[in-house]
Amino acid sequence: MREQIYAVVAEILGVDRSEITDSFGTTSELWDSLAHIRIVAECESRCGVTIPFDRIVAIETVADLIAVVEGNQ
Amino acid sequence: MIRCRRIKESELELIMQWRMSEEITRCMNSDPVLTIEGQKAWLKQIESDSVNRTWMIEVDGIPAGIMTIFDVDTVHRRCGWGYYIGERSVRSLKLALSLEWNLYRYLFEERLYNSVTADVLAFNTEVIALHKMCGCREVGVLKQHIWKRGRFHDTVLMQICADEWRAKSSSVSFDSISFEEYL
Repeated sequence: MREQIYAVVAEILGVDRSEITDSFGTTSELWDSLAHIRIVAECESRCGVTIPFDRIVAIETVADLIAVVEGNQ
Repeated sequence: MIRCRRIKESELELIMQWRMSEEITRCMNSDPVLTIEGQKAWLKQIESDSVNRTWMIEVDGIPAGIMTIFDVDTVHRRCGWGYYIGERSVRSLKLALSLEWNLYRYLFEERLYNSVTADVLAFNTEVIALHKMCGCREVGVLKQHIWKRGRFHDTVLMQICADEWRAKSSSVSFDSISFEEYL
């Protein structure tokens, strides 16, 4: 799961997988509002989950994203 | 702090650069070639317009983007709107939600509008999703509505009405943004 989410974030932001860590997140200029929506949608699709709106807004890091996806499985 | 304020003449060059940048213009209906003279005329027109409004979005003192309401109809109390964030360092989902919710609060609660619409190029699915998050409905698709870069594109028309905003606003919380009035 973790690797899958790392891959989604790297793919959508167009960066090398090695740049993605648990603390990587919305402080990056690449992670803007549209990337945020794209990342969440892709994680929902690939991991078969639906993330509630309030949890989507609260995501600030890859670690948050992983926790939200795991919590909604 | 975020606020929407009047545009300064000293910001026209920056706005011109934003509006002609690929990352902004690829999702807009047009790909304009702007000049500083044209920008000055545009600012004069904005300042003399008694109904439509265009603001600079300012985030923590930094000019960040442009917000506009257009096709204002004071009889039917409706308008269209759009915005973009040119300053990459401030772009975030939280800012996008805050701007859209505050615009609806301003239009529906302060200006007492009844209907607000936005049209989005159909390929821009993230912005369509963003508007839905904020309470908009998808009204329909205007087929082949925009000629851009050598072909026609579909446009998705989105709307939110005052009663829908009242229902939505009770379930969301956000810090208030001020909208400066033009005299």
